[in-house]
Amino acid sequence: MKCYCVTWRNDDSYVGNDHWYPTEEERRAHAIQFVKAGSIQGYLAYHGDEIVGWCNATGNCLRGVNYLRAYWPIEESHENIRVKSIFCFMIAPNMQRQGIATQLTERICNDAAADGFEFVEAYAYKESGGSDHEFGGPLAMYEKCGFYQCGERDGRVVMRKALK
Amino acid sequence: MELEIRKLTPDLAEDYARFFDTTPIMSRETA
Repeated sequence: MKCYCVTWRNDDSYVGNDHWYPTEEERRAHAIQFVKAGSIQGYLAYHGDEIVGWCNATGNCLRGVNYLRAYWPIEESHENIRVKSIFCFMIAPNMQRQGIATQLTERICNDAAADGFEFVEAYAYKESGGSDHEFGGPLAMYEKCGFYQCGERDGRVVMRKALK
Repeated sequence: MELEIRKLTPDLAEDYARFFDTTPIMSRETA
């Protein structure tokens, strides 16, 4: 099942259960609309002409963060504290574990700092295992990039990097 | 690895969709 990463976006159409669409065709069509509108935000990694990775990183995405707050111990949002959230990685299977997520994360942090964000935040799992756990990115990668653990509940860990 | 990291912009929408078309994976939000 292909997600087209439509859940993690920042727009007013994100209400109720409408963060998800039942068919791949709908998700693909909506994803293109959301990218063109700027509500899906993130970075693509190109190796030559080939895209080998994607990271969804969205600023002040209150709806997405509120959705995750049911599972991760995420601090309450404050109007005057800008947080860039890393929601999801997708790396081409034949290109995994070659540092692509690290390069994406470093770029996200550099741009977020330049854009005036206070924190970059990610929602990871304490133990890796199963493909579901891979999408949030590994703890060791975040720690290598200067993140610290700022909360844990039931094996789910909130990672943060202070930019100021 | 030599990569070019591009911030997603509207002109990359078709590239974005094609990446998902061709990458065999399932998202965590469906789990």
